[in-house]
Amino acid sequence: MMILDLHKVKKVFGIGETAVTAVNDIDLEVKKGEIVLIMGPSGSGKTTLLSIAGGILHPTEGEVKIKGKNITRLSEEELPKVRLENIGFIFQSFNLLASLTALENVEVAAWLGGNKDAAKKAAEVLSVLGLKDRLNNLPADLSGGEKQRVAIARALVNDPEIVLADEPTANLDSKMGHEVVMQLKKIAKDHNKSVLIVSHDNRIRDIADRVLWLEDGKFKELAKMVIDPVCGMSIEKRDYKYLYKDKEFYFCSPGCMKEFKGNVDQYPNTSTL
Amino acid sequence: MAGAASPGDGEIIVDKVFARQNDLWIGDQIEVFDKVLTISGITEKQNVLIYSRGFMELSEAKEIFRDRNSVNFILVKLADPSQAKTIADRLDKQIDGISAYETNEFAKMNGEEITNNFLPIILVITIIGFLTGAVVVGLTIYTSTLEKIREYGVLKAIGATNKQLFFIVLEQALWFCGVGLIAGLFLTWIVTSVATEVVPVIMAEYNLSIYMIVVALTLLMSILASFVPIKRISGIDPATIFKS
Repeated sequence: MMILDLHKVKKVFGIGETAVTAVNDIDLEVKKGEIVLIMGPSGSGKTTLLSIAGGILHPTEGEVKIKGKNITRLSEEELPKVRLENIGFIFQSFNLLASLTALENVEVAAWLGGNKDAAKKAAEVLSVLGLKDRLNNLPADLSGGEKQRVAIARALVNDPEIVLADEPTANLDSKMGHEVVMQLKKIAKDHNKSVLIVSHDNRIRDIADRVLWLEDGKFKELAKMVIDPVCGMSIEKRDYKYLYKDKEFYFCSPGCMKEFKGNVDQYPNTSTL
Repeated sequence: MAGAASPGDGEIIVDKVFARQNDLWIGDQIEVFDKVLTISGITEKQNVLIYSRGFMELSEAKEIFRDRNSVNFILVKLADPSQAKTIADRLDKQIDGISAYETNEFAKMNGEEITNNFLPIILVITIIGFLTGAVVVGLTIYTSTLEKIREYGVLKAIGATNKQLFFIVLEQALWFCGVGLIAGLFLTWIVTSVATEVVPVIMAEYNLSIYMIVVALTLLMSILASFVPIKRISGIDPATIFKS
């Protein structure tokens, strides 16, 4: 069953000579229980695409369907209900409400969703995510990983069909990042929710059913992508190429290429995506 | 009231404010137009801002005010109060140069005199106070909303409507005003308690209708204050929360 369907979606910011096309002619389908990872350089349109998929931003052209329902032309009064009932959001910087406890942060989302026993439901979801003993802690008293788990609980409390995550591991160390990645996998595989993730984090590739590369507002073939051996960024096989011992190396910038040339032995391998 | 309920010969009952201002008590003597009278009682609520009242025997009053170009009034207590109107009409007809009124009518005229003189001033002060309060609460709520604008954006992104956000702001304003109301009433009680002791002319009186008016004005103030940040809230673009 198709949960999210983006058809020929285009988003242009500004008008005339100052117009910038952030997303251009994008087609994307996300099935139930599927994890789709969108990667790409900064400014490639990832977050714009996620905002459009989440009914937060209207596309300039194209259609957005959630569970078959076209939400493209819904008004600002109608979209909040669609978001509450169908979509869970996880943000890069957690975006928890600072003056509310972990429980209240989740409870407020449940309350907005019309749950009559919002506190009980919130406590249940937080307990499932291992935060039973942290219910009454303020966000300031939680670790980064715990904050993100509260954010995940908030995203799940209204039982949405799809979870949209914007750089969910960006502010976490590797251990906590791994924890969150596993949690996202659980959401999709155990709870049969669709998960659309936008990230630079290569660790998420391991759990993704599909990885898409977005650059200049368009999806590109992953076969053409390689990892910069110096900074680890995923880049296109295009500029800043260096041939060493019959092997091609690609770099995101002249700086990385220069660094590589100066310490070739330190970077023995590179890999394609 | 302290002392006698009605004055005897050579006696006068004065109001509490007058007594305080002149450092008088029961048994003290005062001179009223060359006539020395002894204070036999002190009433609680007869002072009206700048007016003081004294009660004495009719014969005493006649003697004191005879040949003086002044307007007086005499309170007549009837054995049968139901005859008030008839007797007032008869007094009007039988005695030249006087006007007789029933209690309610007299009280109303007296009230109107006070109201016409002082109410506009008090009303203006009240309006200024209300507007100042509404502006202070409005700005406080507006500032608080601006500080939390990102959080409102988060709520909007996860599905809160502008109406729900308005009610969140309104609830905050009600809490703010509610706490202010309790603190204000407490402070008023302290200030008036001290002020009535220090400045005798000040008389403080509370009743349920005054409390109800204050609560209603506070409620109105909260609602008005909630409208101040509404434009800002409805203009929040939820997409901005994706910007870290």
